[in-house]
Amino acid sequence: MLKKALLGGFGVILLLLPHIAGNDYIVLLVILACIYSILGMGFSMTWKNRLITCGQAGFWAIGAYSSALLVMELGLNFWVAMPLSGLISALFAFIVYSIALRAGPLVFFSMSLVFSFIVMEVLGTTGYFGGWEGIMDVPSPKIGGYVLLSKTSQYYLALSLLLFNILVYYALYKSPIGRAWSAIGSNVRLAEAQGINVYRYRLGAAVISCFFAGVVGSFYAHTQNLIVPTTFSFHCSIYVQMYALIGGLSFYIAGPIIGALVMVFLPEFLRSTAEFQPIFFGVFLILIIIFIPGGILSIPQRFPRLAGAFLRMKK
Amino acid sequence: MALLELKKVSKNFDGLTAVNKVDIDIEEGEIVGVIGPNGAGKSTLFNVINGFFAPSQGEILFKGEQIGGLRPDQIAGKGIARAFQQSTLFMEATAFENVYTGFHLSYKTGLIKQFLHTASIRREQKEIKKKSMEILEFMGLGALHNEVAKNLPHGHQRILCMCIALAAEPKLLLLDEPVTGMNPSEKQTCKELIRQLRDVWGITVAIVEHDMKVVMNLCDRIVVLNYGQKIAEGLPEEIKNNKSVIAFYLGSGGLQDAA
Repeated sequence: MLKKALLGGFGVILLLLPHIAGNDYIVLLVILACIYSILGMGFSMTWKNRLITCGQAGFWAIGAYSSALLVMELGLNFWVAMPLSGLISALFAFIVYSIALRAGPLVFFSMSLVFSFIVMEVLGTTGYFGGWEGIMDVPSPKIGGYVLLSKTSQYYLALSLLLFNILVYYALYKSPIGRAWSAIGSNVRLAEAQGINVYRYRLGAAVISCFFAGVVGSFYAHTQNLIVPTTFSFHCSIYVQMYALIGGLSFYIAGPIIGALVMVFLPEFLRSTAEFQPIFFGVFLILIIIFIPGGILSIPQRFPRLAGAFLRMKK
Repeated sequence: MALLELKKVSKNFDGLTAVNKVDIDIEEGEIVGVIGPNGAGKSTLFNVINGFFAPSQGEILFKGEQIGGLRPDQIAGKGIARAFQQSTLFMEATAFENVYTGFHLSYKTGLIKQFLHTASIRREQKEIKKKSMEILEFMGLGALHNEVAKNLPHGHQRILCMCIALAAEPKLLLLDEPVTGMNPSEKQTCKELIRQLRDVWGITVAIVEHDMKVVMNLCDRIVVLNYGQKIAEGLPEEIKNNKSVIAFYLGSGGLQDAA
Protein backbone atom coordinates (compact mmCIF):
# COMPACT_ATOMS: atom_id res chain seq x y z
CA MET A 1 0.00 0.00 0.00
CA LEU A 2 2.69 2.45 1.09
CA LYS A 3 4.89 1.21 -1.69
CA LYS A 4 2.17 1.94 -4.24
CA ALA A 5 1.56 5.39 -2.78
CA LEU A 6 5.28 6.19 -2.87
CA LEU A 7 5.55 4.92 -6.43
CA GLY A 8 2.47 6.94 -7.46
CA GLY A 9 3.80 10.10 -5.83
CA PHE A 10 7.14 9.59 -7.50
CA GLY A 11 5.40 9.19 -10.85
CA VAL A 12 3.34 12.33 -10.42
CA ILE A 13 6.42 14.36 -9.49
CA LEU A 14 8.24 13.04 -12.57
CA LEU A 15 5.28 13.86 -14.81
CA LEU A 16 4.86 17.41 -13.56
CA LEU A 17 8.53 18.12 -12.97
CA PRO A 18 9.13 20.73 -15.71
CA HIS A 19 6.23 22.77 -14.30
CA ILE A 20 7.32 22.43 -10.68
CA ALA A 21 11.05 22.78 -11.15
CA GLY A 22 11.02 26.37 -12.30
CA ASN A 23 14.36 26.20 -14.07
CA ASP A 24 15.66 24.26 -16.99
CA TYR A 25 18.79 23.12 -15.23
CA ILE A 26 16.96 20.71 -12.94
CA VAL A 27 15.03 19.38 -15.92
CA LEU A 28 18.31 18.84 -17.76
CA LEU A 29 19.69 16.92 -14.80
CA VAL A 30 16.65 14.64 -14.73
CA ILE A 31 17.03 14.07 -18.47
CA LEU A 32 20.60 12.96 -17.83
CA ALA A 33 19.37 10.76 -14.99
CA CYS A 34 16.89 9.14 -17.40
CA ILE A 35 19.69 8.39 -19.86
CA TYR A 36 21.91 6.94 -17.16
CA SER A 37 18.98 4.95 -15.77
CA ILE A 38 18.46 3.26 -19.11
CA LEU A 39 22.17 2.48 -19.44
CA GLY A 40 22.19 1.29 -15.83
CA MET A 41 19.18 -0.97 -16.35
CA GLY A 42 21.09 -2.53 -19.23
CA PHE A 43 23.99 -3.18 -16.91
CA SER A 44 21.59 -4.70 -14.39
CA MET A 45 20.14 -6.97 -17.03
CA THR A 46 23.54 -8.45 -17.80
CA TRP A 47 24.27 -8.59 -14.07
CA LYS A 48 21.11 -10.64 -13.60
CA ASN A 49 23.01 -13.27 -15.63
CA ARG A 50 26.08 -12.60 -13.47
CA LEU A 51 27.89 -10.92 -16.33
CA ILE A 52 29.65 -7.61 -15.75
CA THR A 53 29.68 -5.29 -18.71
CA CYS A 54 32.10 -2.38 -19.00
CA GLY A 55 30.87 -1.58 -22.46
CA GLN A 56 27.63 0.34 -21.98
CA ALA A 57 29.28 3.64 -23.00
CA GLY A 58 30.66 2.09 -26.17
CA PHE A 59 27.25 0.93 -27.34
CA TRP A 60 25.73 4.20 -26.26
CA ALA A 61 28.28 5.91 -28.53
CA ILE A 62 27.49 3.62 -31.43
CA GLY A 63 23.82 4.53 -31.09
CA ALA A 64 24.58 8.25 -30.91
CA TYR A 65 26.92 8.31 -33.90
CA SER A 66 24.77 6.00 -36.05
CA SER A 67 21.74 8.13 -35.44
CA ALA A 68 23.54 11.39 -36.16
CA LEU A 69 24.99 10.00 -39.39
CA LEU A 70 21.75 8.36 -40.48
CA VAL A 71 19.94 11.66 -40.13
CA MET A 72 22.67 13.97 -41.43
CA GLU A 73 24.15 11.84 -44.20
CA LEU A 74 21.21 9.75 -45.35
CA GLY A 75 18.52 12.27 -44.50
CA LEU A 76 16.48 9.81 -42.49
CA ASN A 77 13.78 10.94 -40.10
CA PHE A 78 14.85 10.96 -36.43
CA TRP A 79 11.98 8.66 -35.48
CA VAL A 80 13.23 6.08 -37.97
CA ALA A 81 16.86 6.61 -37.07
CA MET A 82 16.27 6.07 -33.36
CA PRO A 83 15.16 2.41 -33.50
CA LEU A 84 17.63 1.80 -36.34
CA SER A 85 20.56 3.03 -34.27
CA GLY A 86 19.36 0.72 -31.50
CA LEU A 87 19.50 -2.15 -33.97
CA ILE A 88 22.97 -1.16 -35.18
CA SER A 89 24.17 -1.07 -31.62
CA ALA A 90 22.58 -4.46 -30.98
CA LEU A 91 24.25 -5.84 -34.10
CA PHE A 92 27.68 -4.76 -32.86
CA ALA A 93 26.86 -6.25 -29.47
CA PHE A 94 25.87 -9.50 -31.12
CA ILE A 95 29.13 -9.72 -33.06
CA VAL A 96 31.39 -8.88 -30.12
CA TYR A 97 29.55 -10.76 -27.40
CA SER A 98 28.73 -13.88 -29.41
CA ILE A 99 32.49 -14.40 -29.63
CA ALA A 100 33.33 -13.23 -26.11
CA LEU A 101 30.67 -15.29 -24.36
CA ARG A 102 32.00 -18.52 -25.83
CA ALA A 103 34.95 -18.05 -23.52
CA GLY A 104 32.89 -17.27 -20.43
CA PRO A 105 32.05 -14.35 -18.12
CA LEU A 106 35.60 -13.16 -17.52
CA VAL A 107 36.32 -12.74 -21.21
CA PHE A 108 32.94 -11.07 -21.60
CA PHE A 109 34.02 -8.55 -18.99
CA SER A 110 37.36 -7.79 -20.60
CA MET A 111 36.00 -7.77 -24.16
CA SER A 112 33.31 -5.26 -23.23
CA LEU A 113 35.99 -3.09 -21.64
CA VAL A 114 38.35 -3.31 -24.59
CA PHE A 115 35.52 -2.80 -27.05
CA SER A 116 34.43 0.46 -25.46
CA PHE A 117 38.03 1.71 -25.62
CA ILE A 118 38.23 0.76 -29.27
CA VAL A 119 34.97 2.52 -30.07
CA MET A 120 36.18 5.76 -28.50
CA GLU A 121 39.56 5.59 -30.25
CA VAL A 122 38.01 4.85 -33.63
CA LEU A 123 35.49 7.68 -33.28
CA GLY A 124 38.19 10.07 -32.15
CA THR A 125 40.74 9.31 -34.83
CA THR A 126 38.53 8.85 -37.89
CA GLY A 127 37.88 11.98 -39.90
CA TYR A 128 34.51 10.73 -41.12
CA PHE A 129 33.23 10.69 -37.52
CA GLY A 130 34.53 14.19 -36.90
CA GLY A 131 37.61 13.18 -34.92
CA TRP A 132 38.00 14.36 -31.34
CA GLU A 133 35.97 17.47 -32.21
CA GLY A 134 32.96 15.22 -32.70
CA ILE A 135 29.86 15.98 -34.76
CA MET A 136 28.23 19.38 -34.39
CA ASP A 137 24.76 20.63 -35.26
CA VAL A 138 23.00 17.31 -34.97
CA PRO A 139 19.39 18.25 -35.80
CA SER A 140 16.80 18.21 -33.04
CA PRO A 141 13.88 15.77 -33.21
CA LYS A 142 10.73 17.01 -34.90
CA ILE A 143 7.09 16.03 -34.60
CA GLY A 144 5.46 17.31 -37.77
CA GLY A 145 6.46 20.95 -37.83
CA TYR A 146 7.16 21.16 -34.10
CA VAL A 147 10.86 20.97 -33.18
CA LEU A 148 11.64 19.49 -29.78
CA LEU A 149 13.97 22.30 -28.80
CA SER A 150 12.83 23.13 -25.29
CA LYS A 151 14.15 21.13 -22.38
CA THR A 152 10.55 20.43 -21.33
CA SER A 153 9.65 18.70 -24.57
CA GLN A 154 12.92 16.76 -24.55
CA TYR A 155 12.23 15.79 -20.96
CA TYR A 156 8.93 14.19 -21.90
CA LEU A 157 10.63 12.29 -24.70
CA ALA A 158 13.28 11.04 -22.24
CA LEU A 159 10.60 10.08 -19.77
CA SER A 160 8.64 8.11 -22.37
CA LEU A 161 11.81 6.33 -23.44
CA LEU A 162 12.48 5.43 -19.82
CA LEU A 163 8.93 4.27 -19.36
CA PHE A 164 9.05 2.15 -22.52
CA ASN A 165 12.33 0.66 -21.35
CA ILE A 166 10.87 -0.14 -17.93
CA LEU A 167 7.84 -1.80 -19.51
CA VAL A 168 9.95 -3.97 -21.81
CA TYR A 169 12.32 -5.00 -19.02
CA TYR A 170 9.45 -5.66 -16.65
CA ALA A 171 7.71 -7.88 -19.20
CA LEU A 172 10.97 -9.74 -19.78
CA TYR A 173 11.69 -10.24 -16.09
CA LYS A 174 8.16 -11.50 -15.42
CA SER A 175 8.27 -13.97 -18.31
CA PRO A 176 9.97 -17.38 -18.38
CA ILE A 177 12.90 -15.61 -20.06
CA GLY A 178 13.53 -13.58 -16.92
CA ARG A 179 13.11 -16.71 -14.84
CA ALA A 180 15.83 -18.40 -16.86
CA TRP A 181 18.07 -15.36 -16.38
CA SER A 182 17.53 -15.51 -12.63
CA ALA A 183 18.31 -19.21 -12.71
CA ILE A 184 21.59 -18.54 -14.53
CA GLY A 185 22.44 -15.80 -12.06
CA SER A 186 21.62 -17.95 -9.08
CA ASN A 187 23.36 -21.17 -10.12
CA VAL A 188 24.84 -21.66 -13.57
CA ARG A 189 25.44 -25.39 -13.29
CA LEU A 190 21.96 -26.13 -12.04
CA ALA A 191 20.48 -23.91 -14.76
CA GLU A 192 22.42 -25.85 -17.39
CA ALA A 193 21.35 -29.18 -15.96
CA GLN A 194 17.72 -28.05 -16.17
CA GLY A 195 18.10 -27.49 -19.89
CA ILE A 196 18.73 -23.75 -20.03
CA ASN A 197 21.03 -22.77 -22.89
CA VAL A 198 23.21 -20.48 -20.78
CA TYR A 199 25.18 -19.10 -23.74
CA ARG A 200 22.12 -18.10 -25.70
CA TYR A 201 20.26 -16.55 -22.79
CA ARG A 202 23.29 -14.55 -21.70
CA LEU A 203 23.86 -13.34 -25.25
CA GLY A 204 20.21 -12.36 -25.46
CA ALA A 205 20.42 -10.24 -22.32
CA ALA A 206 23.63 -8.54 -23.47
CA VAL A 207 22.21 -7.74 -26.92
CA ILE A 208 18.90 -6.41 -25.59
CA SER A 209 20.69 -4.14 -23.14
CA CYS A 210 22.84 -2.79 -26.00
CA PHE A 211 19.77 -2.18 -28.14
CA PHE A 212 18.44 0.21 -25.52
CA ALA A 213 21.85 1.77 -25.05
CA GLY A 214 21.80 2.51 -28.79
CA VAL A 215 18.30 3.99 -28.68
CA VAL A 216 19.19 6.25 -25.80
CA GLY A 217 22.38 7.19 -27.65
CA SER A 218 20.25 8.42 -30.51
CA PHE A 219 18.16 10.46 -28.09
CA TYR A 220 21.32 11.93 -26.56
CA ALA A 221 22.81 12.92 -29.92
CA HIS A 222 19.69 14.73 -31.10
CA THR A 223 18.94 16.55 -27.88
CA GLN A 224 22.52 17.66 -27.12
CA ASN A 225 23.04 18.53 -30.80
CA LEU A 226 26.74 17.87 -30.25
CA ILE A 227 28.52 14.58 -29.70
CA VAL A 228 32.19 14.19 -28.86
CA PRO A 229 33.95 10.85 -28.36
CA THR A 230 35.18 11.69 -24.84
CA THR A 231 31.59 11.72 -23.53
CA PHE A 232 31.47 8.00 -24.21
CA SER A 233 34.68 7.18 -22.40
CA PHE A 234 35.20 4.13 -20.30
CA HIS A 235 34.56 6.22 -17.15
CA CYS A 236 30.98 6.52 -18.23
CA SER A 237 30.59 2.73 -18.21
CA ILE A 238 32.03 2.68 -14.71
CA TYR A 239 29.67 5.42 -13.55
CA VAL A 240 26.77 3.42 -14.96
CA GLN A 241 27.83 0.42 -12.90
CA MET A 242 28.08 2.68 -9.86
CA TYR A 243 24.54 3.95 -10.32
CA ALA A 244 23.22 0.40 -10.40
CA LEU A 245 25.25 -0.52 -7.34
CA ILE A 246 24.24 2.54 -5.33
CA GLY A 247 20.56 2.07 -6.11
CA GLY A 248 20.76 -1.64 -5.30
CA LEU A 249 22.11 -4.42 -7.46
CA SER A 250 19.27 -6.78 -6.69
CA PHE A 251 16.69 -4.20 -7.81
CA TYR A 252 17.07 -4.70 -11.51
CA ILE A 253 14.75 -1.91 -12.61
CA ALA A 254 14.37 0.52 -9.71
CA GLY A 255 18.00 0.28 -8.58
CA PRO A 256 19.67 2.03 -11.53
CA ILE A 257 16.92 4.68 -11.64
CA ILE A 258 17.29 5.64 -7.98
CA GLY A 259 21.06 5.39 -8.22
CA ALA A 260 21.21 7.63 -11.27
CA LEU A 261 18.86 10.23 -9.75
CA VAL A 262 20.84 10.37 -6.53
CA MET A 263 24.21 10.53 -8.22
CA VAL A 264 23.17 13.17 -10.74
CA PHE A 265 21.84 15.44 -8.01
CA LEU A 266 24.41 14.74 -5.31
CA PRO A 267 27.20 16.90 -6.82
CA GLU A 268 24.73 19.79 -7.03
CA PHE A 269 24.11 19.68 -3.32
CA LEU A 270 27.79 19.37 -2.62
CA ARG A 271 28.46 22.35 -4.85
CA SER A 272 31.74 20.76 -5.79
CA THR A 273 33.88 21.53 -8.75
CA ALA A 274 34.20 18.94 -11.45
CA GLU A 275 37.73 18.00 -10.39
CA PHE A 276 36.61 16.90 -6.96
CA GLN A 277 33.59 14.97 -8.16
CA PRO A 278 35.31 11.61 -8.62
CA ILE A 279 36.66 11.85 -5.07
CA PHE A 280 33.21 12.52 -3.64
CA PHE A 281 31.77 9.71 -5.73
CA GLY A 282 34.49 7.38 -4.53
CA VAL A 283 33.93 8.19 -0.88
CA PHE A 284 30.18 7.92 -1.28
CA LEU A 285 30.54 4.56 -3.01
CA ILE A 286 32.79 3.20 -0.27
CA LEU A 287 30.35 4.36 2.41
CA ILE A 288 27.48 2.67 0.56
CA ILE A 289 29.41 -0.57 0.20
CA ILE A 290 30.33 -0.61 3.90
CA PHE A 291 27.00 0.41 5.41
CA ILE A 292 24.34 -0.59 2.88
CA PRO A 293 25.92 -3.12 0.52
CA GLY A 294 22.48 -3.87 -0.92
CA GLY A 295 22.13 -0.29 -2.14
CA ILE A 296 19.78 2.54 -1.20
CA LEU A 297 16.67 0.51 -1.94
CA SER A 298 17.71 -2.17 0.54
CA ILE A 299 17.53 0.25 3.47
CA PRO A 300 14.03 -0.86 4.57
CA GLN A 301 15.15 -4.52 4.60
CA ARG A 302 18.46 -3.79 6.26
CA PHE A 303 17.09 -1.52 8.94
CA PRO A 304 13.59 -2.84 9.54
CA ARG A 305 13.29 -0.91 12.81
CA LEU A 306 14.12 2.34 11.09
CA ALA A 307 11.53 1.60 8.43
CA GLY A 308 9.00 0.71 11.12
CA ALA A 309 9.66 3.96 12.97
CA PHE A 310 9.20 5.84 9.72
CA LEU A 311 5.85 4.16 9.16
CA ARG A 312 4.65 4.95 12.68
CA MET A 313 5.73 8.53 12.28
CA LYS A 314 3.54 8.82 9.20
CA LYS A 315 0.53 7.59 11.13
CA MET B 1 18.12 -51.84 -26.60
CA ALA B 2 19.13 -50.34 -23.32
CA LEU B 3 17.95 -46.83 -22.40
CA LEU B 4 21.50 -45.67 -21.74
CA GLU B 5 24.56 -47.40 -23.11
CA LEU B 6 28.09 -46.43 -22.22
CA LYS B 7 30.64 -47.98 -24.55
CA LYS B 8 34.27 -47.86 -23.43
CA VAL B 9 33.83 -44.38 -22.00
CA SER B 10 36.98 -42.71 -20.70
CA LYS B 11 37.65 -39.31 -19.23
CA ASN B 12 41.19 -37.98 -18.79
CA PHE B 13 42.25 -34.86 -16.95
CA ASP B 14 45.75 -33.87 -18.03
CA GLY B 15 47.01 -37.42 -18.03
CA LEU B 16 44.99 -38.51 -15.02
CA THR B 17 42.40 -41.06 -16.03
CA ALA B 18 39.31 -40.48 -13.90
CA VAL B 19 37.09 -42.86 -15.86
CA ASN B 20 38.72 -45.70 -17.75
CA LYS B 21 36.92 -47.61 -20.53
CA VAL B 22 33.71 -48.12 -18.62
CA ASP B 23 30.86 -50.12 -20.19
CA ILE B 24 27.48 -49.77 -18.55
CA ASP B 25 24.01 -50.53 -19.87
CA ILE B 26 21.00 -49.16 -18.06
CA GLU B 27 17.69 -50.72 -19.03
CA GLU B 28 14.44 -48.81 -18.92
CA GLY B 29 12.71 -49.06 -15.55
CA GLU B 30 15.80 -50.11 -13.63
CA ILE B 31 17.34 -48.63 -10.53
CA VAL B 32 21.08 -48.97 -10.98
CA GLY B 33 23.58 -48.20 -8.26
CA VAL B 34 27.13 -47.05 -8.91
CA ILE B 35 29.41 -47.62 -5.96
CA GLY B 36 33.11 -47.40 -5.29
CA PRO B 37 35.60 -45.83 -2.90
CA ASN B 38 36.24 -42.09 -2.88
CA GLY B 39 37.92 -40.94 -6.07
CA ALA B 40 36.75 -43.97 -8.02
CA GLY B 41 35.30 -41.70 -10.72
CA LYS B 42 31.62 -42.07 -9.91
CA SER B 43 30.78 -38.39 -9.95
CA THR B 44 32.99 -37.85 -12.98
CA LEU B 45 31.04 -40.58 -14.72
CA PHE B 46 27.80 -38.74 -13.97
CA ASN B 47 29.34 -35.48 -15.16
CA VAL B 48 30.26 -37.15 -18.43
CA ILE B 49 26.78 -38.62 -18.92
CA ASN B 50 25.14 -35.32 -18.08
CA GLY B 51 27.41 -33.29 -20.35
CA PHE B 52 29.44 -31.24 -17.89
CA PHE B 53 32.49 -33.04 -19.26
CA ALA B 54 32.85 -34.37 -22.77
CA PRO B 55 34.07 -37.98 -22.80
CA SER B 56 37.72 -38.30 -23.89
CA GLN B 57 36.96 -41.60 -25.58
CA GLY B 58 34.02 -43.89 -26.10
CA GLU B 59 30.38 -43.54 -26.96
CA ILE B 60 27.36 -42.65 -24.89
CA LEU B 61 24.05 -43.69 -26.42
CA PHE B 62 20.72 -42.58 -25.02
CA LYS B 63 17.74 -44.27 -26.65
CA GLY B 64 20.19 -45.34 -29.33
CA GLU B 65 21.25 -41.78 -30.04
CA GLN B 66 24.81 -40.57 -29.57
CA ILE B 67 24.87 -37.90 -26.82
CA GLY B 68 28.54 -37.87 -25.85
CA GLY B 69 29.98 -34.36 -26.13
CA LEU B 70 26.65 -32.53 -26.25
CA ARG B 71 26.11 -29.56 -23.92
CA PRO B 72 24.37 -30.19 -20.57
CA ASP B 73 21.27 -28.29 -21.62
CA GLN B 74 20.98 -30.35 -24.80
CA ILE B 75 21.32 -33.56 -22.82
CA ALA B 76 18.70 -32.34 -20.36
CA GLY B 77 16.47 -31.75 -23.35
CA LYS B 78 16.93 -35.37 -24.43
CA GLY B 79 15.56 -36.53 -21.08
CA ILE B 80 18.43 -36.95 -18.64
CA ALA B 81 18.20 -34.95 -15.42
CA ARG B 82 20.47 -35.00 -12.43
CA ALA B 83 20.46 -34.08 -8.78
CA PHE B 84 23.80 -32.83 -7.54
CA GLN B 85 26.08 -34.10 -4.81
CA GLN B 86 26.10 -30.92 -2.77
CA SER B 87 22.83 -29.17 -2.20
CA THR B 88 22.84 -27.33 -5.50
CA LEU B 89 19.75 -25.15 -5.41
CA PHE B 90 18.56 -21.68 -6.26
CA MET B 91 19.32 -20.73 -2.67
CA GLU B 92 17.56 -17.35 -2.52
CA ALA B 93 14.32 -18.64 -4.04
CA THR B 94 11.49 -20.50 -2.31
CA ALA B 95 11.08 -24.25 -2.65
CA PHE B 96 8.19 -23.69 -5.03
CA GLU B 97 10.15 -21.26 -7.20
CA ASN B 98 13.05 -23.69 -7.33
CA VAL B 99 10.85 -26.35 -8.88
CA TYR B 100 8.93 -23.86 -11.03
CA THR B 101 12.20 -22.55 -12.48
CA GLY B 102 13.31 -26.12 -13.10
CA PHE B 103 10.47 -26.55 -15.60
CA HIS B 104 12.35 -24.51 -18.21
CA LEU B 105 12.22 -27.28 -20.80
CA SER B 106 8.44 -27.62 -20.71
CA TYR B 107 7.64 -24.33 -22.39
CA LYS B 108 6.25 -24.93 -25.85
CA THR B 109 5.37 -21.27 -26.46
CA GLY B 110 7.90 -19.20 -28.40
CA LEU B 111 10.09 -16.53 -26.84
CA ILE B 112 8.22 -13.62 -28.42
CA LYS B 113 4.93 -14.88 -27.03
CA GLN B 114 6.59 -15.39 -23.66
CA PHE B 115 7.69 -11.76 -23.74
CA LEU B 116 4.24 -10.54 -24.74
CA HIS B 117 2.55 -12.62 -21.99
CA THR B 118 -0.03 -13.99 -24.40
CA ALA B 119 -2.90 -16.17 -23.25
CA SER B 120 -1.12 -19.34 -24.33
CA ILE B 121 1.93 -18.68 -22.17
CA ARG B 122 -0.22 -17.74 -19.19
CA ARG B 123 -2.13 -20.99 -19.56
CA GLU B 124 1.15 -22.86 -19.78
CA GLN B 125 2.54 -21.13 -16.69
CA LYS B 126 -0.59 -22.01 -14.75
CA GLU B 127 -0.21 -25.62 -15.80
CA ILE B 128 3.44 -25.65 -14.75
CA LYS B 129 2.65 -24.07 -11.40
CA LYS B 130 0.19 -26.89 -10.79
CA LYS B 131 2.77 -29.49 -11.79
CA SER B 132 5.38 -27.90 -9.52
CA MET B 133 3.07 -28.21 -6.53
CA GLU B 134 2.31 -31.80 -7.49
CA ILE B 135 5.99 -32.67 -7.44
CA LEU B 136 6.54 -30.94 -4.10
CA GLU B 137 3.56 -32.71 -2.58
CA PHE B 138 4.58 -36.08 -3.97
CA MET B 139 8.03 -35.66 -2.48
CA GLY B 140 6.60 -34.54 0.85
CA LEU B 141 7.63 -30.88 0.68
CA GLY B 142 4.14 -29.54 -0.07
CA ALA B 143 3.82 -27.80 3.28
CA LEU B 144 7.21 -26.15 2.90
CA HIS B 145 6.68 -24.71 -0.58
CA ASN B 146 6.99 -21.11 0.61
CA GLU B 147 10.20 -21.68 2.55
CA VAL B 148 13.35 -20.09 1.12
CA ALA B 149 15.70 -22.87 0.00
CA LYS B 150 18.69 -21.80 2.06
CA ASN B 151 16.60 -21.97 5.25
CA LEU B 152 15.51 -25.56 4.70
CA PRO B 153 17.18 -28.29 6.77
CA HIS B 154 19.75 -30.37 4.93
CA GLY B 155 17.54 -33.40 4.43
CA HIS B 156 14.83 -31.32 2.83
CA GLN B 157 17.36 -29.56 0.62
CA ARG B 158 18.45 -32.95 -0.69
CA ILE B 159 14.84 -33.83 -1.50
CA LEU B 160 14.35 -30.43 -3.14
CA CYS B 161 17.34 -31.18 -5.38
CA MET B 162 15.46 -34.23 -6.60
CA CYS B 163 12.27 -32.20 -7.06
CA ILE B 164 14.10 -29.75 -9.34
CA ALA B 165 15.55 -32.61 -11.37
CA LEU B 166 12.05 -34.05 -11.71
CA ALA B 167 10.86 -30.72 -13.09
CA ALA B 168 12.94 -31.44 -16.20
CA GLU B 169 10.54 -34.37 -16.74
CA PRO B 170 13.35 -36.87 -17.29
CA LYS B 171 13.35 -40.41 -18.61
CA LEU B 172 16.58 -41.08 -16.75
CA LEU B 173 17.38 -39.51 -13.40
CA LEU B 174 20.94 -39.37 -12.13
CA LEU B 175 21.14 -39.05 -8.35
CA ASP B 176 24.52 -38.16 -6.90
CA GLU B 177 24.60 -39.30 -3.25
CA PRO B 178 20.94 -38.54 -2.56
CA VAL B 179 20.85 -39.65 1.08
CA THR B 180 24.16 -38.20 2.27
CA GLY B 181 23.79 -36.39 5.57
CA MET B 182 20.26 -37.65 6.19
CA ASN B 183 19.19 -39.29 9.43
CA PRO B 184 17.96 -42.91 9.32
CA SER B 185 14.26 -42.07 9.08
CA GLU B 186 14.90 -39.52 6.33
CA LYS B 187 16.96 -42.12 4.50
CA GLN B 188 14.07 -44.56 4.72
CA THR B 189 11.64 -41.98 3.31
CA CYS B 190 14.04 -40.97 0.56
CA LYS B 191 14.56 -44.59 -0.43
CA GLU B 192 10.81 -45.13 -0.68
CA LEU B 193 10.46 -41.98 -2.76
CA ILE B 194 13.10 -43.10 -5.23
CA ARG B 195 11.39 -46.45 -5.55
CA GLN B 196 8.09 -44.71 -6.20
CA LEU B 197 9.65 -42.52 -8.86
CA ARG B 198 10.37 -45.70 -10.74
CA ASP B 199 7.12 -47.52 -9.95
CA VAL B 200 4.65 -44.64 -10.24
CA TRP B 201 6.34 -42.16 -12.57
CA GLY B 202 8.20 -44.71 -14.67
CA ILE B 203 11.54 -42.96 -14.33
CA THR B 204 14.74 -44.95 -14.70
CA VAL B 205 17.19 -44.10 -11.93
CA ALA B 206 20.97 -44.27 -11.59
CA ILE B 207 22.37 -43.63 -8.14
CA VAL B 208 25.85 -42.93 -6.83
CA GLU B 209 25.76 -43.62 -3.14
CA HIS B 210 28.07 -44.53 -0.28
CA ASP B 211 25.41 -45.82 2.05
CA MET B 212 25.58 -49.59 1.42
CA LYS B 213 22.35 -50.33 3.23
CA VAL B 214 20.40 -48.04 0.94
CA VAL B 215 22.16 -49.20 -2.21
CA MET B 216 21.81 -52.91 -1.50
CA ASN B 217 18.20 -52.49 -0.55
CA LEU B 218 17.10 -50.19 -3.34
CA CYS B 219 19.03 -51.10 -6.47
CA ASP B 220 18.15 -53.78 -8.99
CA ARG B 221 21.69 -53.89 -10.21
CA ILE B 222 24.99 -52.52 -9.00
CA VAL B 223 28.11 -51.38 -10.83
CA VAL B 224 31.35 -51.13 -8.87
CA LEU B 225 34.05 -48.68 -9.91
CA ASN B 226 37.60 -48.52 -8.63
CA TYR B 227 40.30 -46.19 -9.97
CA GLY B 228 37.99 -45.32 -12.82
CA GLN B 229 37.54 -48.91 -13.93
CA LYS B 230 34.52 -51.13 -13.67
CA ILE B 231 35.57 -54.03 -11.45
CA ALA B 232 32.23 -55.72 -11.00
CA GLU B 233 28.60 -55.60 -12.01
CA GLY B 234 25.62 -57.62 -10.89
CA LEU B 235 22.72 -58.10 -8.51
CA PRO B 236 23.16 -56.77 -4.96
CA GLU B 237 23.62 -60.34 -3.65
CA GLU B 238 26.33 -61.06 -6.18
CA ILE B 239 28.16 -57.85 -5.36
CA LYS B 240 28.04 -58.64 -1.65
CA ASN B 241 29.77 -61.92 -2.27
CA ASN B 242 32.15 -60.77 -4.97
CA LYS B 243 35.71 -61.39 -3.77
CA SER B 244 37.36 -58.52 -5.62
CA VAL B 245 34.73 -56.05 -4.45
CA ILE B 246 35.23 -57.18 -0.87
CA ALA B 247 38.96 -56.83 -1.22
CA PHE B 248 38.79 -53.43 -2.85
CA TYR B 249 35.97 -51.76 -1.15
CA LEU B 250 33.51 -53.38 1.17
CA GLY B 251 35.90 -55.11 3.52
CA SER B 252 34.65 -57.92 5.73
CA GLY B 253 33.23 -55.46 8.28
CA GLY B 254 31.40 -53.53 5.60
CA LEU B 255 29.54 -56.64 4.55
CA GLN B 256 28.07 -57.26 7.94
CA ASP B 257 26.96 -53.65 8.16
CA ALA B 258 25.21 -53.96 4.86
CA ALA B 259 23.52 -57.23 5.76
